[in-house]
Amino acid sequence: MNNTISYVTFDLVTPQQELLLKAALLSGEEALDAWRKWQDKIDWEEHLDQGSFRLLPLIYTNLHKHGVDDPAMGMLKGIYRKAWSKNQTLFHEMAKVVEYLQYAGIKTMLLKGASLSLLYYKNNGARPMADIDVLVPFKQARQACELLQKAGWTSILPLSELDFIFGHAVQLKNSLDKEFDLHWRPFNSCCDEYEKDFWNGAMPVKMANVNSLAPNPTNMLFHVIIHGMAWNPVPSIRWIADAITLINSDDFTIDWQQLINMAKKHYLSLRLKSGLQYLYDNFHPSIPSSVMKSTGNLSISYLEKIEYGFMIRNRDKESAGPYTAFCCHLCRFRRLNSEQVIFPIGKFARSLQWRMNARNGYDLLHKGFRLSANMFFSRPFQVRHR
Amino acid sequence: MTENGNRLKINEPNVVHENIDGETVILNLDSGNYYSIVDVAADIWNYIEKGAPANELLPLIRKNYECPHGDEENAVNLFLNQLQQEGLVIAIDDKSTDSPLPQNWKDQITVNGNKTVFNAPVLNKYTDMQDLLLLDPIHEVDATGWPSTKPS
Repeated sequence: MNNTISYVTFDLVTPQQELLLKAALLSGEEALDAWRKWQDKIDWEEHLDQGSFRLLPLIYTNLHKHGVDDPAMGMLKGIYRKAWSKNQTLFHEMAKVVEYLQYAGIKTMLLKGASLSLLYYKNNGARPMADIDVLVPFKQARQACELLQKAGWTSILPLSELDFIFGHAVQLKNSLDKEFDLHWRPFNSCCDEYEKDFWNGAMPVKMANVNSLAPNPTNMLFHVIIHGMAWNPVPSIRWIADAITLINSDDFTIDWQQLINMAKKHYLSLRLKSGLQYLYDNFHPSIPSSVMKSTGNLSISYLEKIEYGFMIRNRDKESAGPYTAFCCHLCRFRRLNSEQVIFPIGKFARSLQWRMNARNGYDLLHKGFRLSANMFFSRPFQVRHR
Repeated sequence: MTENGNRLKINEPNVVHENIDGETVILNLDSGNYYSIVDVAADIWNYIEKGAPANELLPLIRKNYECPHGDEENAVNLFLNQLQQEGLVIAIDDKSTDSPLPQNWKDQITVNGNKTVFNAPVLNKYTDMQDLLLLDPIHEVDATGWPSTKPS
């Protein structure tokens, strides 16, 4: 099988979104030119996709830096003000939850937007957030869930033991309809060893006067690219802005070798490789050419290619075939258990039971037969969305 | 108004603020009220943030603005009272060990080369953040942007 699946094979970014990203991230005439072209192409007051809308606060900061005097600046400034206010409100509300967990002896780490905003963007309005993602150590996840339940934070579906073993996060809601995501693994199917490294390398961060931890720049970049290189109903283009902000930061250094090693270890080389290549070709980030060469030479396994194809596919338009879904699950299971020398068949069966929402072994067998039959007839099979 | 020698302090962490292109936006996270200040008001806020004592605020304003009408003292006092009533700033003693007076506050305040005419400071207030956050910042706002709504 061909070893070079190019980033151009996915349509995660439209040409219009790319112009907007350039207006937000580049400097000088390149940024201004992109902004003008984008305005010519898009009637953004008429229709704007959610992914592009989330970039507008960053557009405001970049255009303001360039001294742009445009009739749209008033509205953009308003969008920035709103993002700033929403983020500040979220920080304030979620700091209480973080403090509550810490008071009970549970370590916390702020993932995604909160850490990116506070540490890397160094701007509380440029990177809008819908909610806050809090990571707790895997060993304390059950305790954290129990405590949060007592405090009125509940998950929509009841959590089972298998959710903790094979899942990575849960969305919690309180009676005021506030939401936040509790993670016990940094990302889907992350193995225990990486979780340890993730915590060991963490950096301090302060959210609304409450001390917590944030992923270090290398882990953050890994997280951003792996999360970003996946199809999402809301175009996930802001990963590009997050990644460029991280890479171009004067205050932090990326350990490129570690980044590549992580990708290899977790069978995520193709996602990293495609993500970095896309950034390199379009946004001139300060990625050493030796790194691009190393990632270009990364070998990609068959399962990884299948998983990559599944992740970037527009799931609104097409469902995954059962074979793809099975390979994807196998790839994730392999990642989760990458430290085990012998393939744990019993655990794999339990993971399938969890993925297929089977009540017991018989139910799993029944669903397995259906899956095999569907596979034979190549009918789409709906896997449990986690 | 605070007594001479006392200092005003921004009521952090429950009050957060940011200067966006000359406009200072302030959020009282306890009440959910949002405020916007510009010009003289934003300058006063800046002096408070830098740690200027309360009795130095008026001289600083007089240094930075032309005050031909002699109404600046009342206007500044009124504004400071508003800030306190809204819980945005609190009065503290100079000797407070929690918030010692910054020794270099004067160095951090720049004096305008060209004085502009003093206009009474205004505190623009928008209530209920939950409602404000539901406003569509593209279609429901005027040309100055969120949170100023279009006239109905």
